[in-house]
Amino acid sequence: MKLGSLLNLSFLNIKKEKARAIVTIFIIFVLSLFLDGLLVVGTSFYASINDTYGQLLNDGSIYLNCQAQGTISDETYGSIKKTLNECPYVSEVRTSFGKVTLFDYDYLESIGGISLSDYEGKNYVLLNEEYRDDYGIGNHYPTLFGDLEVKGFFSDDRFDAIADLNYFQYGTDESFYFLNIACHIEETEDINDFINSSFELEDDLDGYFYSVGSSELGNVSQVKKVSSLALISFVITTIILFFLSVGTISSSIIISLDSNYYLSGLYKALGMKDKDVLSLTAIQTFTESLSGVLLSSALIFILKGTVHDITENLFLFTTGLAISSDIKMIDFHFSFPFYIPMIMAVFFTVFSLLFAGRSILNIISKSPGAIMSEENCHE
Amino acid sequence: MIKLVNVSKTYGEKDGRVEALKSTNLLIPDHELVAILGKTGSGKTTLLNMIGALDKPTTGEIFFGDDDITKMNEDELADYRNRNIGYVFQSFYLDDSSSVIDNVMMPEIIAGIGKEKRTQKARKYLTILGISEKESTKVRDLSGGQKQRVAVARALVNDPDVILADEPTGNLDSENGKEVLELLKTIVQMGKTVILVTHNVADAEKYADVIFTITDGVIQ
Repeated sequence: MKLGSLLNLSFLNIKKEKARAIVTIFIIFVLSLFLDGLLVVGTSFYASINDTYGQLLNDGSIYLNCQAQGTISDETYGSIKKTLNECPYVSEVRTSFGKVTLFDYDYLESIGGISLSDYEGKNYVLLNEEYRDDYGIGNHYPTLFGDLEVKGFFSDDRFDAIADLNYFQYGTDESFYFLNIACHIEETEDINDFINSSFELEDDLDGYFYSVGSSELGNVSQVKKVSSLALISFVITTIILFFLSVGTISSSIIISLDSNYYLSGLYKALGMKDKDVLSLTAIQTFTESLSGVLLSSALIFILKGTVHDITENLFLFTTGLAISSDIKMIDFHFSFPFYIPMIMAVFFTVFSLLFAGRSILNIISKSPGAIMSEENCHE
Repeated sequence: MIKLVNVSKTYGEKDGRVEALKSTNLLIPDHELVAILGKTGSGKTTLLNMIGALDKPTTGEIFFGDDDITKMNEDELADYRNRNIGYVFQSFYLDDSSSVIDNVMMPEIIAGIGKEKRTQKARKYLTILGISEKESTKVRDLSGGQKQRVAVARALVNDPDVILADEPTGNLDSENGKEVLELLKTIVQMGKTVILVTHNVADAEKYADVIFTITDGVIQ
């Protein structure tokens, strides 16, 4: 049969069964409203997640702070160097080795209110560049900072080894080897590849050092965990809603086929081929599915602003569970791909036809004479 | 010309096996009103369903002209039904919730005929059968006689060579029944072959050119 004839007949059939079609379309509308909502949240969430990662990095960099107890052999150092060379994002490596004095935090506070991370090394201190002007010391090194000798300035705040020592309850005068690695990403590069490489590097280095840490990777890891949980929830809910929709549509098909059983026999008697009976059912199903899905999509489009706010709040709430203060700066992307309704309607149709397969097969497998005889017996 | 050679039809299996049609040989001449006369359960509808390709025989061959329809696949059979056969059933088999013209156009839609042409043809046959004024009426609002006229119009609309009428007067009063039989006679005059299945001896004798009697699946 020609497509035009099939469309003609299917619209005639839908028109004839207006009540059933309207109920089916309404149920699909409600279910796909939730389903669309979930897809909007899901796609928007994941469209924003890369920006979230970007915000969690320190000016596009991840800093890995490694510490080993005692010295590292030349052989081990060679392996570490090889590992670092293999990571394309490593931009800077600093090493230090020495006898580190563990300072008392309260004592340091009393000196100048400078955070613990500003100190490094033996019985000396390196001052952060930003304090150069604050202390009015120009380009000249002060000789002493409190009771400690000032050895110079550093231009970043990557020296948190002392804090780690404090955490691990080490005593004073221990010898440690420190490695500070900076991994940097350019704007044109793939942030996910960068993060994955950094995680791999962290894992590889973990075998060589007593501890390897990165505040940036820690934050990314937390957001990853939360987003994975969110993804699992989305997927489970989406599957449930999808099969509820498919169940509704296939029930509607079965009701329609059963109530029009004789009509199918008649169509076959008048020359309709089995494939046309199937196509006719598919067109009717697709038309009803698409109507319901388009209505829900239209509503979401009309209420775009509200959906955006709800989705954004949900995003901030779920990611905020991991690390709220950083997330609030991020621009949230509202995303709803235009092809989603069409894909949903196709999936609804295919799965519903599979679910209603037995009823369809019941018509296709029988001769028109057999269907009409059954109908006569029924009457 | 339709020719049946050793055609039989068996339903069911083992103990529930029923031989509805026994080794039947039959020659149906063209352009005649042929009556198949028999009591309820005699196998006359089974025979009609075989000729109309609504069912497949268990054994035997059925020739429509030179074509053996028992050798056709499902798609070819569908085309055969659409082009060559028109059906008129006792219980009308119309789509009650559709309009008269939509019902009549059904075989044309299946044949893929364009809207303008099919509407024109459907209207032509509705006029011939005297129900053109009911064109937009829903079938459920028609009387039994009118419904059967719609069924006859639908049977004729694709211009088939053979019209199969299975107890077409069974659900009608005598007046309407008579009108339908007159219509079938007119259809023969239009150059068609009409095969009428009936249990009514008087109708068969009055309207048929040729009568075959069937008893317990055997043509007498």
